[in-house]
Amino acid sequence: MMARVGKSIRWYPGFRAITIACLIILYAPLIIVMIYSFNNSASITVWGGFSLIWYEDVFFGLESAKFKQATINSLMIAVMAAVVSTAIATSASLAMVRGRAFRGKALTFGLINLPLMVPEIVTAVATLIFFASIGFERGVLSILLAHIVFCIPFAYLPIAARLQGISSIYEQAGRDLYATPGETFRLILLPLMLPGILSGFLLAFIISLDDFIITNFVKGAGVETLPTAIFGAVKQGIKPNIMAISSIMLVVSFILVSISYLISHMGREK
Amino acid sequence: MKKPAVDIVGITKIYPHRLHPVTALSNVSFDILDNEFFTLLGPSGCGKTTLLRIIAGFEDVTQGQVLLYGDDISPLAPHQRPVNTVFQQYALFPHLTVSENVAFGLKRLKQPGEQVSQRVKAMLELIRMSDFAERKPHELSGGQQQRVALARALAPAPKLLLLDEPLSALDLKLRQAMREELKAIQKQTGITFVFVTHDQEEAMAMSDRIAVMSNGAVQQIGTPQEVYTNPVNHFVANFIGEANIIEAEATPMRGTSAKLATQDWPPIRVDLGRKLAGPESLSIMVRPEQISLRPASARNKQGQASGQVLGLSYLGSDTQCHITLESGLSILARIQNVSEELGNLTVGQKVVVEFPESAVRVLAK
Amino acid sequence: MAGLISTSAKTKAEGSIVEGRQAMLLFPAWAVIGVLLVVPVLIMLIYSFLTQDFRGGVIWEFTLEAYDQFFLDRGLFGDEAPSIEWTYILIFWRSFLQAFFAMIFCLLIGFPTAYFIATQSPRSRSMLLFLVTIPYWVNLLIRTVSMKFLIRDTGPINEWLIAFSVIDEPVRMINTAFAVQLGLFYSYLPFMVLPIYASIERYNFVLSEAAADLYTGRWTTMLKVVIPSVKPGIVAGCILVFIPSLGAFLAPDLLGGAKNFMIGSLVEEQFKGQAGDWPFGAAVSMVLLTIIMIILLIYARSQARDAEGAR
Repeated sequence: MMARVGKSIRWYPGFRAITIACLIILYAPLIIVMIYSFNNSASITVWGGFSLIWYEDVFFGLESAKFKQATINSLMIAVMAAVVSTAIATSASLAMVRGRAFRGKALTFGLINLPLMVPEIVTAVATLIFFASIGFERGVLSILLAHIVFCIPFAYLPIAARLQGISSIYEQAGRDLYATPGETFRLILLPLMLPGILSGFLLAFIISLDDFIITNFVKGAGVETLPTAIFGAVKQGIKPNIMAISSIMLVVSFILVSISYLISHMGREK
Repeated sequence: MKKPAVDIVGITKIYPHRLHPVTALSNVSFDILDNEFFTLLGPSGCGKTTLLRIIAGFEDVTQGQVLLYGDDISPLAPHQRPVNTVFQQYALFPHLTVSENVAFGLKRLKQPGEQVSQRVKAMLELIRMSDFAERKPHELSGGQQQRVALARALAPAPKLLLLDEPLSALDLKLRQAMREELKAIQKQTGITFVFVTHDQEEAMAMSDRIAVMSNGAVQQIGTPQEVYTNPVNHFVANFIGEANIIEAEATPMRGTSAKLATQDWPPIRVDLGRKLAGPESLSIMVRPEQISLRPASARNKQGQASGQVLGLSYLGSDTQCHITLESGLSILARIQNVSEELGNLTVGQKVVVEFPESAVRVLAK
Repeated sequence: MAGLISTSAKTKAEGSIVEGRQAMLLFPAWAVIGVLLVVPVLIMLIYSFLTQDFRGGVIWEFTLEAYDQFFLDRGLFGDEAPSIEWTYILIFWRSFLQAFFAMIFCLLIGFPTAYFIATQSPRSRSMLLFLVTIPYWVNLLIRTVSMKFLIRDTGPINEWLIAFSVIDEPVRMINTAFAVQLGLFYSYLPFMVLPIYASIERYNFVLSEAAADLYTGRWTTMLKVVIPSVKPGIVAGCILVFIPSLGAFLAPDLLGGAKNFMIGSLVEEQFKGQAGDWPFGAAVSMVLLTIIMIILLIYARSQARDAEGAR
């Protein structure tokens, strides 16, 4: 007698197809942009053959100076914002994860996550108004300060998660062996936390690099970051060099996220 | 002749794998009778749970059929079979109350509301949890959840109730109380129960018949008494209760009788039920409670199995004695404490081990 | 030896190394977020009650002008009886609808995707999750630009449709409400998938077996057993899509054009160049912030209530 070919209790018809559709929807625009960035034709839509001319244009063409400066600004701000926000997040996570409960702990947690909860446009407006009201000149510094704020929760998450997973017996062993709190942190906790800190740093870096709305509001007239430069260019019409830049940023983001992912997973296996 | 409730026909189940396919069940066939409390008993991995899930419809068969009162239910999906399951983890729906859980199957069967409420009420009374109707599962203890799971499975009055080790998570006293309750409920409702467990004491206490399984095959089916007093092979003898297995040489005598020669005891006469062609080696089994012990006197008769007491375990109602014979054979004896037999038995004492001829069972290999 | 022990009495204290230092460790976070977010929001609140300076910026005179302008139309000279100003209410309403439908579409696609991923083997699961998350890390601007590139009249989709003779004229997709929907859906889809996935991963499938055992078909099981068990993840996903969509700027600006103004576009307009109406922009931002805070509060309350109920 032939056995009935049954379907598992978890299976639902169509779900696999929807998942594939979902992935296609998510990737199609990006992949198409990447493909067309290699288009050997001035017209953006007619395929003229594979070519790197638009990448050349990005680096050496008419607007390349503007984009180069914007990229330098973006990288500078991202590095500094990531460093500062990671330091602040590390400090905060120590207090939150290792500290005993205190009045206002929940409030602090809310505060750390506040930048995530306030809509970006509101943060942008509020920050702009703040700088204007105290007469703070808008420029690279104003961008940096704004970035530090919203980078903190992104750095905090992986760091706190990592710290949670580290048993406190190592610190106790250190203290038992006459280490000061500072030494215990520096020599014992910090190395163990490192994957989380690196992961948080990378996340903060990417988030700062990618930010548009807040940056656009607080940057002032003379300064551009890469996203604002791209936006400005798009407003004038999509040109192929924009697609080249987008592709570059795409690949960079992908690489950075993968590294962040690998670091946090490698750390876990130890 | 009445149709059996369940007919397991040649069921084989192989889990495919590129390198190591696993045979969970191998050509299993047997019947389960109407209104029977039938138990599948065996160690982990013997296939008992797989078989239960096949009956419920959660697993496919590689070969074979399941007939329910003569109807082939193999092609039916689980929700089409008039069979209900009490799961090992209870699987009560956490977002529903006790009564909503019990009513679940009835609602799916589109029974009218009034009838559903009546039935739920009756079920809750059956398990004596009428006061808990509005509670949620997480508010109940393990034993209470188990009773609700039972009520939920009984509510749709299935033709067959499957129970997958439902008592394994309960502590001893609760387990023993539940055994009696389950048995009573089975008799009361008249529904055929198929019960899976690895606990042989539980199987013996509750079942009308037991199927002892090992390595995907049924070793023996019988009433608890049959399976205990007349195990067919080593596995069943060792799995149910304790057994002393003794090697013997059989020589044919008149008819189907044979004379068994053992290393330690005088010759034993048994009826093999078959004609021996010539001398044959076989194993015999004697249950520990059939063993009697006597302090060995200084002058031992020839042909007496004597040895030394290696250990004594006081178990409350009886004492388990571990003896090593002079030949090296290990013997387990179980002596009731109220009997005078023990006297001053101590560890290290020399004893004579005896058993009546009627206690001997011949095992197939 | 003895000297070492006696002076170390303080350093061998019980408790963790942050004992007594928590305030100091938390100070930087408090300071930065307090000064650069909390204070600015408060100042923004104040600004919403100030008067617009037509030369740019504000005049420090308190007035309800901004909110008034939002809801009422007092006409050019303020002599006529005020009538309801529908323009801005309409913009809010449109934003709500866009956010709501973005949430629905993300749910329709995101839930099956999350379920499917959660029922795969552990290795496939990690890979699929990784694949779903990566697009999020690509700059939102670039993602929106990519979408714009794709659906323009002269974009690849129209080109291919014409090339394969499916249509003769390009289909107008850009600068429509549909385009904005698509943009929002595309921006926040991973936010729906991840929390739902997390909930389904914790779901015990023996409950689905129990339902099947009790005569429940596949889809009824989904409706009556799986979804109620997975509700927290679904709600979290919906909130994570709805809230950013409400205040979105890039999707309506790049994909919607002038006719598809949303709250984000409205706010941005107030701060462009010298002609902006700052108090009004601040007022609109305050209204948006208040709405979102209320939603979050309701969500937090219901979470707390659920946690209580489960005890």
